[in-house]
Amino acid sequence: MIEILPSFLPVFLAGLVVNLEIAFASLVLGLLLGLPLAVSLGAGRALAAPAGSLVGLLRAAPTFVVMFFLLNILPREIQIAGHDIQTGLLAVILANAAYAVAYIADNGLVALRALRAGNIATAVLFLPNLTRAFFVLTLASSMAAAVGTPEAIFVTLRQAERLPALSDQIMLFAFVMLFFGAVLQTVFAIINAVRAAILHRLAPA
Amino acid sequence: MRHLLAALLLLLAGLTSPARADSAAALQAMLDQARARATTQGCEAVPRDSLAGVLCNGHIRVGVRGNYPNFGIADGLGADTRRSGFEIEVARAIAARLGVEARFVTVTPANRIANLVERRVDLVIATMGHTLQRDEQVRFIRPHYYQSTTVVVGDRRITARSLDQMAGRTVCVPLGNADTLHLVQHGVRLLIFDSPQQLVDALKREICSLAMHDDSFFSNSFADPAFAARFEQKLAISALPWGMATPPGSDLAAFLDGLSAQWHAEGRFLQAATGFPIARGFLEDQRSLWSSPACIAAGATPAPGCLGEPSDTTLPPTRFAPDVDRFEAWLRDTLGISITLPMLKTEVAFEAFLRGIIFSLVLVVGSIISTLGLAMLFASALCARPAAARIAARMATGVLQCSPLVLLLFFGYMVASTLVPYSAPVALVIAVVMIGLYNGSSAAQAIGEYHATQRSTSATWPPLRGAIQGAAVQIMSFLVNATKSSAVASMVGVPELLNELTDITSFTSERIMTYSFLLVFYTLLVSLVVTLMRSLQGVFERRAAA
Repeated sequence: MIEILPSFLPVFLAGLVVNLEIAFASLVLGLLLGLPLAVSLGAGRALAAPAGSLVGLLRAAPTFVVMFFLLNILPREIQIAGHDIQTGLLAVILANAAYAVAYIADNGLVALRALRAGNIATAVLFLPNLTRAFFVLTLASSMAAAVGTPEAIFVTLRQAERLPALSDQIMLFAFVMLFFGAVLQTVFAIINAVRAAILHRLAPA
Repeated sequence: MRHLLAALLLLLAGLTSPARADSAAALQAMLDQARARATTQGCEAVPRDSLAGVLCNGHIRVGVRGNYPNFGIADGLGADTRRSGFEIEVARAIAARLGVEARFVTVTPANRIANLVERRVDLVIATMGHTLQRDEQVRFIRPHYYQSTTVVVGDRRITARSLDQMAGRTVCVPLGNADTLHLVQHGVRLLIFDSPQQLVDALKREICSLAMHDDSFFSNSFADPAFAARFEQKLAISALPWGMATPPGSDLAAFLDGLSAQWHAEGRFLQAATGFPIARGFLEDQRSLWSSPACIAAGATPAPGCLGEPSDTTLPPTRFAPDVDRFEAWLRDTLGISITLPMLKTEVAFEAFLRGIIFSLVLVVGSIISTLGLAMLFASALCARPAAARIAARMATGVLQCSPLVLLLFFGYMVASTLVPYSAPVALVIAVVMIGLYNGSSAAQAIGEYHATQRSTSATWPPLRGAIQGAAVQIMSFLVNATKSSAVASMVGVPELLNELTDITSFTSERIMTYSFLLVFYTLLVSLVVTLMRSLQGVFERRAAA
């Protein structure tokens, strides 16, 4: 098991970059569509009702199923700004974006209401919440393995498939789980510390 | 020994040559009659696609593939198109035998039959499998000129070599191939690709480690030493005879029947295959078979007992399939909505559809129960008095929360495979437990955090029940999350609706309606769980207020 790590780690880290790219693209799309929806949710009933229905629908749609739906309805050859885009990659970005739009609309509305009420501390919490969403999206992007996108979990599964001993396969999985656990727990601890610092600094004396 | 073999071959040639001579004479007589008919009736009076019509025109229009390596490849455009491949050689040889020019028309699997039926071509030689269903549309030439075998090709490092050993693995397949049913019945997950070339690209780019297609298609890839070094044939699934075909009612077919038998006997098909790296086993077998005088009846007609049978790929229809057809027609005619419901039309698809719905419902209920149960289990450890129990539970929930669900599912699948062989119920149990662990650990953490807050303000050790009530909203959101993520279980082979509809798509080719239905089904399921959770929350809040 140890002997495969030198060759596996670079491929795994390259796969992790793909996860981060998917999460980033989904979050950007989520912001572009989620923020206007948050504003609509906080506006009059004429705007809030359709926006609420749309957000409810996006919230209820399972990301994994949305990804397969998009994979099967999107054209096979897609070019964006002159670049060929893999359909599977686009499907996973859009599916995660659906979740991100609902999340950002919900959290954006809370922040907007807090701003209107003059509660700056609650409004500013939108930023660490956004960071949390980014890492949730990074975890969720591993579903791209189901459509053959070479992200971290996909390359782990491929590597495990080639290991002859089951014990080695289990050790590889345990290694990747501990890696994700250590990295994300550290990130979440930092986010929580930032949240606490914001709340402490902006709390009324 | 060599002399003995030569003597035997000479003897065989002596025995068979009269039959071959008769056959050749009969074929020549058919040509002569066609020429005489053209002369007496006039070229305007004979059908264009008949034998006499082809002779009158001085050319034969042959539908061939333009992108199938080693069988039919077209390079260039218009008059400059250069064609090559086994089927091109066969077409040229037929044209030469008729004494006419071969005019090629590029056809695809989607339009080759339409080209024949609408008489835009006189003959199709285009990697077309002879099936009973196609027999109803066009006239196939027998004996068949080739036979492909559906095979699974994969990475040499993968040890699986039988359908049973493929269980739980993902195999990349082309859209609309009935052989995927064999894979599905053995618990194989499918990843569908639109074109065969995408399959090879996916193998090379390691998107797939196993792929299914005809051996004829993979022959070109295996001619590449780099590909052959990485991949090998894992198993053969089923054989499909390939037939040339003419429009229905054309007398050209009878001539080609006799010619095919004669060419198999003479090794002409084998000769046409020279220079192309394609499997030749079928051609060699046919040469032996048709060398027997017993296989040629009077008048160059191939003996029925020597002919290969067409494949039967018919899927038995459901008893309500005609009603479904009528409903689709009504929607199209009345509302202008064009939809197809393949999951309701054949028995195999309908059974898969029902199984998918049942497994999805069981999966969702099971995931909710396991999430709740495991959340309580972890929470009792997180809220326990001994610090060691709390630390251990915090570490476990920390790792579980931060592991991608896909990874957890495969980890569970791998561990379980050491104890029990793969089956759908086993996959279901693994998925239920892993979804429960993933969401339950997060819900438990919410309970633990609430409990920690209570501890900091209370002089006594707060009861677990209070923390559970305090974190009720988060618990319910993780129960909803368990429902939303249940479809991911398809990755370890749980036959829930996503998996079953993917299987149905693989042999019916219909995708848009199928996946739209899937999305609506799961969205409604999640909405139902959300509504239930809100009702429960209301009940708890009323009780708390009382």
